[in-house]
Amino acid sequence: MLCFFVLAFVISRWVSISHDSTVKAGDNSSYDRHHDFGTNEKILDLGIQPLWLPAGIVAEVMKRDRHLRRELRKLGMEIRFHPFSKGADVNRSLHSGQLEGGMGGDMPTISACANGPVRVTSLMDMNFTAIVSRDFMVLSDLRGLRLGYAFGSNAHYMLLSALERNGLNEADVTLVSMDAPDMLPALERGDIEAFSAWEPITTLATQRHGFNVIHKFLSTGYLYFAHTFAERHPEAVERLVAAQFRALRWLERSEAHLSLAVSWSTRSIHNFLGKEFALTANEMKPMAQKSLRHLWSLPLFPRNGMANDGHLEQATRFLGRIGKIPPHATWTSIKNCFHPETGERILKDANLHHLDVFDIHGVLPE
Amino acid sequence: MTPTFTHPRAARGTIPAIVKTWLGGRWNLGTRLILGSGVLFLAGMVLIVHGFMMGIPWTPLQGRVQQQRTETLRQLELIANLHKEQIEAWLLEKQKDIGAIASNRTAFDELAVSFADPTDPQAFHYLQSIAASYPEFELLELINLSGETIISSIDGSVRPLIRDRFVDNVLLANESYTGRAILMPGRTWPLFRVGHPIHDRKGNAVAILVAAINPDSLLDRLLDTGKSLGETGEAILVNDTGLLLSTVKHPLPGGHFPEPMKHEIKAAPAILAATGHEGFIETQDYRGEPVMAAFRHIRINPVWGMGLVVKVDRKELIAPLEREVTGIIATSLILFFLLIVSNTVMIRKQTRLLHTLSQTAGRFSEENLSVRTQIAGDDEVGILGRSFDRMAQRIQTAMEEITAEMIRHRQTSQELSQANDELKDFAYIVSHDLRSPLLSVQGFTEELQMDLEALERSITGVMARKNEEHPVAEKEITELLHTRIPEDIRFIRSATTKMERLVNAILTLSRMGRTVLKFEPLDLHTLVENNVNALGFSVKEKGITITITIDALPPLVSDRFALEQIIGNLLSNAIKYLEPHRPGIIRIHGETHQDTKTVTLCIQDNGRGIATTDIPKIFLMFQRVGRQDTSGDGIGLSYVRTLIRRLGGTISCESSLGEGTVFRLTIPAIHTNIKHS
Repeated sequence: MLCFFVLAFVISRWVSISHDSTVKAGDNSSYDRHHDFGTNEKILDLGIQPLWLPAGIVAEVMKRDRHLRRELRKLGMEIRFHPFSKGADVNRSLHSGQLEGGMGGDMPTISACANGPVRVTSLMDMNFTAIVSRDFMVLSDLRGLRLGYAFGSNAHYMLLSALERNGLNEADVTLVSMDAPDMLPALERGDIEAFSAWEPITTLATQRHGFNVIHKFLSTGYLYFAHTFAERHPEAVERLVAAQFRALRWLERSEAHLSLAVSWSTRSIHNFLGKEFALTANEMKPMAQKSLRHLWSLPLFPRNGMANDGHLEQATRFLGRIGKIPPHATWTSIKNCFHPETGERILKDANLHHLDVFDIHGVLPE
Repeated sequence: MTPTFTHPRAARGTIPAIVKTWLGGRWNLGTRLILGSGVLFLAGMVLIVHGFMMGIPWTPLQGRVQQQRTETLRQLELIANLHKEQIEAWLLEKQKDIGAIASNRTAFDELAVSFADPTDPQAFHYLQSIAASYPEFELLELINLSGETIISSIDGSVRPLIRDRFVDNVLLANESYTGRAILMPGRTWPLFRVGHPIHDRKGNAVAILVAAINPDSLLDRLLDTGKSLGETGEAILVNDTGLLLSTVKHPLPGGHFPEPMKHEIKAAPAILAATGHEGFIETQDYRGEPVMAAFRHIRINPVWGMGLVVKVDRKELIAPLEREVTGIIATSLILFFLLIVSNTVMIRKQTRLLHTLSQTAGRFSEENLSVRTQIAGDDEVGILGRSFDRMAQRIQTAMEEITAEMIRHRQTSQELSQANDELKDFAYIVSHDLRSPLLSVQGFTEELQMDLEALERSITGVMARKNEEHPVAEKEITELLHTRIPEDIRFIRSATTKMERLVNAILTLSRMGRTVLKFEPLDLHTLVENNVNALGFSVKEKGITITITIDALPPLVSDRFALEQIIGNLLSNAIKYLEPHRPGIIRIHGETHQDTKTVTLCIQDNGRGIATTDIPKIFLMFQRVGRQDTSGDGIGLSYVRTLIRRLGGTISCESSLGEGTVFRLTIPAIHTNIKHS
């Protein structure tokens, strides 16, 4: 009888994992929640990702930027920030008209561009997405293993791309769809042998649990808006991009600012997850500092990435090849969604856009 | 033609079949055992070496290859991360240096003069003094916002700088910015450009201070991958297009070394690192050599980055394992050789014993039942040999018993046949000999009847002629009463007496057949002497000489009464049939036959002898041969033969008429089986 129950348990676990591995497009996150979206365009609903380092920290500063709110109020608008667990969820709300803008990694950004007119305005992140495994190995060793991933995320596509580069495909591994916060516990339990995720989960996996990063991929993240909104409200878009640059400069200005922003971020993650996040603020701070360094030097689109046959075009081709974006979406059409001039203009006219005017809620104005 | 059988697999030329063919007659058990143990040993060693090298599946035990691979990957990771941090720190330091110089108010004051008059040496000297303080700054230039060089630390001449988006990016960054590595005219090594805007007192950017930095100090450290990666360990730095920035350790397949800033590395690790990937890979490097590589992307700024590859040749990774494997294989070969030698010795010894066993079994099967292996030892072969010997002994004993039994059966059969013949003879003799007196009785009874009738008639005639004289009748009556009738009665009595004697003889023989023999140890010599003594009167009377010569016999186990009867009869006959005209001589001679475990007793006389043709008749009942001048019923020798048969012996007779007779009787020395005739 005992054997029967053990067998039943094993089968049920296998079935559940097998079922997970077959989850396709439309996968919903278990962290989906009710969002109080605005009912008109005067309320700028912006999708953010608290679990995304450093974009989540920048978003926390932007949320507290009273200068931004004043500027938007001048335009008769207000802003609401809505937390999501991954870019695919942001895109779904963006294309359904619930959001006016959002933040996402390069793959979700390309996906957003391919599935509807979008205007990409600035660089939110330049960091590494990583594949983490229990045992030390090279990518070709992943054959036959169970790999955790967040459907539609940057890490998802990076994982597929990395597999493809090493002569593997989805059939050679068992892909187990899960939310990013659940990957680490799943790896610890042995439900999966590796996962693909982004910061700070990858650092948490290596530093706290001693797991191994076996492959990293320089990924970028962007701030983007629904094209119609950007057409109708270009000033609001500029104010928001300026607020992003301002937040970066504020974070760069002092370590105290960074510490404060990280504590906001951890609290936000806690609220989003409904439980304590595994990383403390002290642990997250150096990771955030390292991630922000590239943005501090120049928060513009990577020229390599935008170049022909650059990594964005390669990503576009890859997504097209695996059928994750519509066939009509070409690199040319995707490239047209990127508007580097917005950020460049704001940086060149720093004074005009008050990039150094800091009035952050909870901090004395400088 | 002898049919031959070919195993189906042998026909296909399998390895055993080929080996069998090659070895020919040497394909015996020993060869098979030696080869088998050798193959088993090799297979075991292969499994052990494989397990040692590759690990054991489904267990956490890693093989040396995996351990070495993991160790190397960790080492590569360590060095790659270290070098990445070094490069990032080095560039950050340079950025800070140039930022500190450009942000210094003195710099603006010193350099401002050149804005108005580029030929003024003050700014040139200032740049030279700074360049002298920073040995890695090969060139310091002041560039206006259009990208034109205002003044250079080298010769102070105004010359155009390479135009790209470097100036724009410095202005956009509004702080220290590191541009792509470039190859300056007249240089063969790459230089990193770090620029920082110079602001006027109002905070507006008025120029850019650019330093061309020689990365030799960085690259020297970079090329040192430490001892842990061995001789082939190497670190390579490429820019974001794969263009080589550092020197390399190994030449290309053509024999020449690729030059920095002139050679584009196409190998996967470099390309991956250059395009923003980080990780590990096992692939080929720029030489086409299989390597294990850790690759890191060094993001200088969002616009460009560099790729760092730390690699080691797989052959160097495998080399120590090869040494270990070589050691294991060498040890294995020595062990294998020792195993083969020791196996050969042991197996040859064992197979020699098996060969002995096989040959013994072969000879045994050819009915040489006395052969034995004589194999000693406590091992399986020794046990097998002893078991075989015991089995052979039991078979031999059983066969001997069976053979003896068969012989006995054959003898019995012959005896039965003979007895049957004798029985037939006996029946014939009895019927013939009994019929003869019976006919006499019948005839004389009828004669007596007739005589009585004649007597009656005579008496009736006399009675009818009373008072008359009947001299004839009286004479006849007298003859009947006194002659003829008594004669008839005498004949009848004679016949019945003979019949009684015959019947008594038959009864005697019959009793002899039913007598229970009692076997006991006997001294044959004493037994013979006692018999001779019993005949003392006859011997003395006839003046017979009796000589007894009997070997020292082992105790004879037999029936005393039967032997006395036999010897007594034979001696009595010898005395009875002596020639009266010559002195009788009787010799009794006995001897033992160890091989057949029998005793032979010869009784020889110099009597009248028996005709050769009569010898077969002498043992028949009621048969008497030769001159019938002595009394006898012809049952004595028949009686003797019956007794001898019951004792398990035989009797034969050799005789020459007129010279004498020898009776030779043979009986078992130790009687084990009672015979019933």
